[in-house]
Amino acid sequence: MPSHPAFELFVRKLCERSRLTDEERRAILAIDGQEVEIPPHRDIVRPGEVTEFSCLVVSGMAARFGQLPDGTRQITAVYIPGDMCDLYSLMLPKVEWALQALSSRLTIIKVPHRQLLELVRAYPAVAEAFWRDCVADASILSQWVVNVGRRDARMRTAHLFCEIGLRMEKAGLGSRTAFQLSAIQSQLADALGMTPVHMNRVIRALRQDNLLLVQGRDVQVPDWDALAAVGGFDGAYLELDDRWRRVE
Amino acid sequence: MTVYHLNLFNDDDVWDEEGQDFADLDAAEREAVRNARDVIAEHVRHGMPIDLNHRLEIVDGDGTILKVVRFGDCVYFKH
Repeated sequence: MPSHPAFELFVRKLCERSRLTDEERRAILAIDGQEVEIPPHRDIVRPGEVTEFSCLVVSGMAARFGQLPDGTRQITAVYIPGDMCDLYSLMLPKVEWALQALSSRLTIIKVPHRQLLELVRAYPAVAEAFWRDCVADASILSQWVVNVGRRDARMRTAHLFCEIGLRMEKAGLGSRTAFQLSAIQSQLADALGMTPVHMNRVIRALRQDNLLLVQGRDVQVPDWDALAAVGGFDGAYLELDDRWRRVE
Repeated sequence: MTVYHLNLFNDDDVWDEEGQDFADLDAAEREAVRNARDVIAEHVRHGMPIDLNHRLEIVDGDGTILKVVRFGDCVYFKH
């Protein structure tokens, strides 16, 4: 049976950071799970819920969020096709942050923890690759904290659009200068730690400077280097150093 | 839920083309105040002047203005 394209993409991403043998790759591709379509805005995993699966994004986008008692949310990660959103839940099945679908139709594969555990116990290099994937996730999170904590509204918006564009390009889903972002404005504002009106104002100002054009779900970046300069964006944190691709 | 649009009339006019769902107009007004304060705060951070007559307009899907929230109604000063 041919492996699912989302798993192919997942393995490709793992191999950008980790060196895996053919046998190890085949073992990951042999995993199966339940493909599920999630309606727009719906939560996939609720805060505090105990999960028995990790979520591999097939199409659309998902987000990790934290929530205050009044319902206010901060989005702390955006996941695109080929991302295993909550790989960390394999080690920590109950966390206070959770996952939601962004606006467009989201399809995920629920991958049972049991299968992932069997895999990492049989193949230590796969365990390392998963670990490194979680480090990459933490690396992005670290940038996001700097973004919402220290960059002003214009910088942080530029930074986020640069990051998502570059990740989409790497996943073969458009290019850094033209891609689709499946989020409504309130979700994007939740990711940027801003209110929607303020964010619209910033996006309009970036448009007037011919740096960023957002039309519905379509994003165009006429001058990517200029937008990266505005955001102080350096994509090194997405790469990780490949000298450490396999621990011997 | 009803879709209301929060249009900003600031140093630049920013139309909320997408709109957001709100339970009622009061909820939209509370959100408008929160959004106005966020814009004002960014002006403060950058040392930019704040025009208390700048405003947010809450409009429905037909473009009818239902409520106007002035910046001056969102901030208080003590001398």
